[in-house]
Amino acid sequence: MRDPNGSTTDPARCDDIVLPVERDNASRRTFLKLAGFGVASATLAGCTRGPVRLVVPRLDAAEGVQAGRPFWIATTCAGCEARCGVLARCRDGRPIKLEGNPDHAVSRGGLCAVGQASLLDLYDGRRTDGAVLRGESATWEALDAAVTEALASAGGGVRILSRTVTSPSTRDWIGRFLAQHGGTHVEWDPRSASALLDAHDAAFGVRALPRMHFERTDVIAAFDADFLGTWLSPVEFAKSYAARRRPDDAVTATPSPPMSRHVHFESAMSITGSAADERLVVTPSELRAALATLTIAIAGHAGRRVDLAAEADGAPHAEALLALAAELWAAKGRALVICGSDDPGAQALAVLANEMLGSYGATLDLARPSFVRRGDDGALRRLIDEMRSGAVKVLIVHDLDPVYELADGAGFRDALSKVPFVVTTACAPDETSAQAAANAPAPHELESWNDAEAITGQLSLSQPTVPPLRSARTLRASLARWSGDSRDDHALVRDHWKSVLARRTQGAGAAGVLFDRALESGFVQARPAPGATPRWNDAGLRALLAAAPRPTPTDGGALELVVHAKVGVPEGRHAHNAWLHEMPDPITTLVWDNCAQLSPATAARLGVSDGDVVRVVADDGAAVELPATLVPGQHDGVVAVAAGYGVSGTDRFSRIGPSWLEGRLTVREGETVGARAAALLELREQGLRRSGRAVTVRATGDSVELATTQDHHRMEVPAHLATARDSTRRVAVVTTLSELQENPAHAIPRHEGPEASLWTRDHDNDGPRWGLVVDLTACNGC
Amino acid sequence: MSCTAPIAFAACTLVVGLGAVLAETEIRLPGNHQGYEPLQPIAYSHRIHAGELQIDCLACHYGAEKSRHAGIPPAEVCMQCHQHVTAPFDTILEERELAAAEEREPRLIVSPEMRKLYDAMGLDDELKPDPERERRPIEWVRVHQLPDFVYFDHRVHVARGLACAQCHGPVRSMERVRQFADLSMGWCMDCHRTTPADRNAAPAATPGGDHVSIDCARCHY
Repeated sequence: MRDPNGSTTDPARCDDIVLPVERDNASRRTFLKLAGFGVASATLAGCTRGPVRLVVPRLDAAEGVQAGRPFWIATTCAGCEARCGVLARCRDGRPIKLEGNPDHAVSRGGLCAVGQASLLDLYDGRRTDGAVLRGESATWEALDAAVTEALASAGGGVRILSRTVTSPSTRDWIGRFLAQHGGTHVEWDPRSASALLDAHDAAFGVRALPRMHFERTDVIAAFDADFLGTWLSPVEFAKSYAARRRPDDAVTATPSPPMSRHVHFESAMSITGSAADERLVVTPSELRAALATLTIAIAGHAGRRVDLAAEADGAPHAEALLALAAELWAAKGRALVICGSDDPGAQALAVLANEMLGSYGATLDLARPSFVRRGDDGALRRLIDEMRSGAVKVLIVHDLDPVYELADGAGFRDALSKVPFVVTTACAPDETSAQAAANAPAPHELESWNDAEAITGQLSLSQPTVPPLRSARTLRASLARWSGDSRDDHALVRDHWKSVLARRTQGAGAAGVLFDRALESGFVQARPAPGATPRWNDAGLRALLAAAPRPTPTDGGALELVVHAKVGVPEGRHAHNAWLHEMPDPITTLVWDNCAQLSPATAARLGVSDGDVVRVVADDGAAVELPATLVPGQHDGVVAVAAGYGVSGTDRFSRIGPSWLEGRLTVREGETVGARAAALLELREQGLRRSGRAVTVRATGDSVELATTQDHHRMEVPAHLATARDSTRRVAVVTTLSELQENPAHAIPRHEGPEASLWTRDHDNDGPRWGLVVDLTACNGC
Repeated sequence: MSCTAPIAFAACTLVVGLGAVLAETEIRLPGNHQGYEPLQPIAYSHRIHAGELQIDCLACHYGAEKSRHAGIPPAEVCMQCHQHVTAPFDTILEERELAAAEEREPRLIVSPEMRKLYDAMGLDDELKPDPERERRPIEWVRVHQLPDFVYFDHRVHVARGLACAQCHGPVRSMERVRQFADLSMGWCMDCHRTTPADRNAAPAATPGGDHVSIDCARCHY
């Protein structure tokens, strides 16, 4: 046979030399070796190929499916309980990119970093394949038999411990399962909003979160609530917040609402604080007094007596708080006080302030509440007591790793060993599943049927975007099976939608197509789920406030601890996601680590600088060692440590990465990425205490090099690199709203000097061009 | 001493090998798979389908108009004809004549190559779907392969009216598909430099004319 160049190529000979077939299991190293061989032998033999690649077309010509053409499937994100709508871009049968679903009425096209990166977890090689029974791989039948046997002798001692369950069909099956076997469901969230829920329970008799409407708010007073970054439902909040952060609207369109004003109180630095119009630092122990001062001032405007003088003792920023109270009162009905504190007393004060400002029914909607958090710290504490006493016979732990999250402070690990039969649903081995008798791994959201109702009446549906990559089963399907219903998830979810949720839609005709509409758009709206009517109960709120002990300021050289959530890795469940570790933290610009964040003044006092390892010791002796990093803008009396790090097994990342580039390991063999802040948490009567605990910080004398993408606060070009033009160039334009309204032109930066181009002159570039413009007023650095 | 011997041997081999290649006057750059003609799992003949039967390329490779990949058709596309055509026509004709002579119904003749297609589709001996049989997609061997760092899109080339044969060569006469062009960047550029941007204009003789884009970023991004 002759080829077009006329040289002889014997196909048989070519096939003989063809290099080994590149199959799935061929490693990158093997591939490179073979490719290297290919280069060498190509010059020698003149008749050889790279690895043989196969093309495997579909068998059926499915309509709309075309190799190389991606298509989108509307589903729901499970990165957190806010459950944003996503569109999964699928190519050749696999999801390759997640984007926000613009048709979703809550997230409105937004998707945070955690949501974007949740795609990687689908392809995580650590995921458990099939049932695990007593540490050994087992069949699902064997697991079901073991669980059924344990349930039969449980005698009402069944407990389900999960994080907030947003899926209505799963809640339905939890109810049915517990009705059959006897027991209770305990919800607990690592990023708990228990204090906020308790305050609303006390004040309104409804244990729910009011839905916050920033788009209706003129004045926002926020206390330690990183609502644009990590708090409750950041994508939803960022959208509604940005709707009122448009100076253009304020300048041009007269009937449009004015720009909102945002005053932020916090102890550590957050992206929400950096987006605020005014930011004031308080320690966690001062926060409640600050809120009390504000509440008293608002009561003064409202002409009400609140008797909170003792609470307001020692409040910082008294003048600013009085001015803020006046601003809030002037915007009555369009004002909002939010608080992210884990102190029920502080939450009670915020509820009281909002009630006086007429926020409920205006900027806060408790009639159509949000259920992004239902977790109850008190219920968790009672559960641990029950486990210790031996009352719990079967414990099902779902979507949660309490052994990691609670460290040893709460004694969960010991309590767990007293439970005869523990079932977990961990999709990959974690610290709780290591102690469990059985593990029924849950599938990834992108390969399963699921639903969500994070805000009542706003229904999202999840559907598979790929056939299951591992043998797994949702909690819903497991509970149904253990209750004698062996239908699959599709049937269970669909049935719940048709028989229960469809009743909440308008008209009989609409009910039938509810599920089908959700399949198409990923999201549908229905009437709110029936619930208790909120009724104001002043005495209840007072009782909660009185019961919550007042925080005491630390004395001497001690600092107050703040365990916070980072935008990238907010919780331990994301610790195996390398994309999130690679994402620089918007505040510290650090990657791959958590640090003891200190203000520059405090760091100077302690004699540490960036990268110096410090030992953070709590009053009960619990200690964590981690490198310090300096964060300007943080309160001098505070050390902030991010939760979600120090997860066992994260040394898997020590063996990856480009070792030929300054080959330093991100994590050493046997160690973990970052340090575990959970060791410093304290589970008290009033709930889990994440901030305000007195700790001492001491330098250990060691030092490590931190991986950071940019030095702090380098908005300007460094002096030794600057040219004459740089010195005059403004990177970020700063102005006030009133200045802008007076002279809209003055804030528009102009390019000075000649237009430079990368292209040579002979190269036309008259075609389409693009430019990137970031609205820095709306940008929150997410 | 023992380790130098293999190196010396390798060096000699290299020199001799290079000499041999130079003598052949053809030095092939790495990655150039021109003339590649791998064996395929089914002895499908483009000569019969595209040549003798004159089936249009786009009838099966319809992806070329819709996607960046021309694509290999799903087995169902084959089945549109091959649910009826189960063997070479002369074999079927022979059986029909024999059946007529023996005064019986003609038997279903299935050629071994066609059986592979039916196996993939999970069809039984009567060509009926058999739930017991596993449906297994056919693993064809890829012939044309561009590196990952280049973006190529069939759509624009087909829309511009380029004949398939211009890049893929005389597939109509190929029993088994063979890579015709070397698919190197120079080969792409040769065409891009001389093809006018305006589809109605005459081909430009020299580079620098009003030709289709040769921006790096057009294909590498």
